[in-house]
Amino acid sequence: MIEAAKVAIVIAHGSLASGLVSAMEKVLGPQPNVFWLSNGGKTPETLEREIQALVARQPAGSQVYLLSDLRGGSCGTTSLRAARRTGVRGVFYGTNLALLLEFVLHQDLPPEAFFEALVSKARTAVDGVAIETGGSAEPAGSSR
Amino acid sequence: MKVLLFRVDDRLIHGQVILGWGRRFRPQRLIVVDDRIAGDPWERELLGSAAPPEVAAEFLSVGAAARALRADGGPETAFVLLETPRSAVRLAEAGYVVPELNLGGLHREGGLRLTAYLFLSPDDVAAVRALHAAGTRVYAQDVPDARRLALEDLLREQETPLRREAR
Repeated sequence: MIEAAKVAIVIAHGSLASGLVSAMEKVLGPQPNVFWLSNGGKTPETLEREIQALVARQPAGSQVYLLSDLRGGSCGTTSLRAARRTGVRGVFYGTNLALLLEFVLHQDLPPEAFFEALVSKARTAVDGVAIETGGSAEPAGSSR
Repeated sequence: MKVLLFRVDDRLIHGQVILGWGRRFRPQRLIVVDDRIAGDPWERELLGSAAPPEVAAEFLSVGAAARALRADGGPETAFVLLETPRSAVRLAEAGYVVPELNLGGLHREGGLRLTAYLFLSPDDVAAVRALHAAGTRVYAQDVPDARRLALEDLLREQETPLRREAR
């Protein structure tokens, strides 16, 4: 069965949301189902109204997801508040570029698998390499 | 209870409060004073989930908060968070005058711009003036390392051009 179009609204502090969407489109090209909002200079009520208006503009049957930045931050809290009052299918926290790329690439997955796949990808995308002075670099957390 | 910060912020519990101020001063409690939120279980749960696990979030009506602030001399540390300056006026009317009030985020549409994070409605301005009259020192400061600015000075700067025009 073909799932209805999944729509992403990225909601973040400052210019993070526009930056994430811009970076994702550099990789995958323009995406008509991906939108962004910033909380800059807005009350939580204003941001919530903007989210609701954007959700209402989507074609009937669309699966709308809110991709917010910081759990416990105003964007995350407002996203959840807006989701409660609209037909939004889910809210993600901690959105990074990997999560947004997967969102676009996994349009065909059913909702449960979709959530799991995106969160898993976003988590594993966070990694680091500790550079020891005078030593060789190896992936953080690896053991030999 | 030792209140480390009284703050007006229309976002209440959020990143600047938890990470900016919270990591610096390590309060044990975050107390949101708001009649509407205190009576709304869903909002309490939503905002409570924004607090870090080691910090207790509490939601009190203005009346309950005034009683707690007047009575409590315990050792626990807290931030008290208000949505608008009017809530601090109501606290004063209920018997507790806030000694120092931080304005950290008010974003009224079409409001008077005092800083990049303070846009005040006429009622906010009236509330700030009432707080001054009651003895509260009101200041603007979004994060701990930012400059602390006296609201009196910011409001005076706003008024000066108007007075000049009127002459």
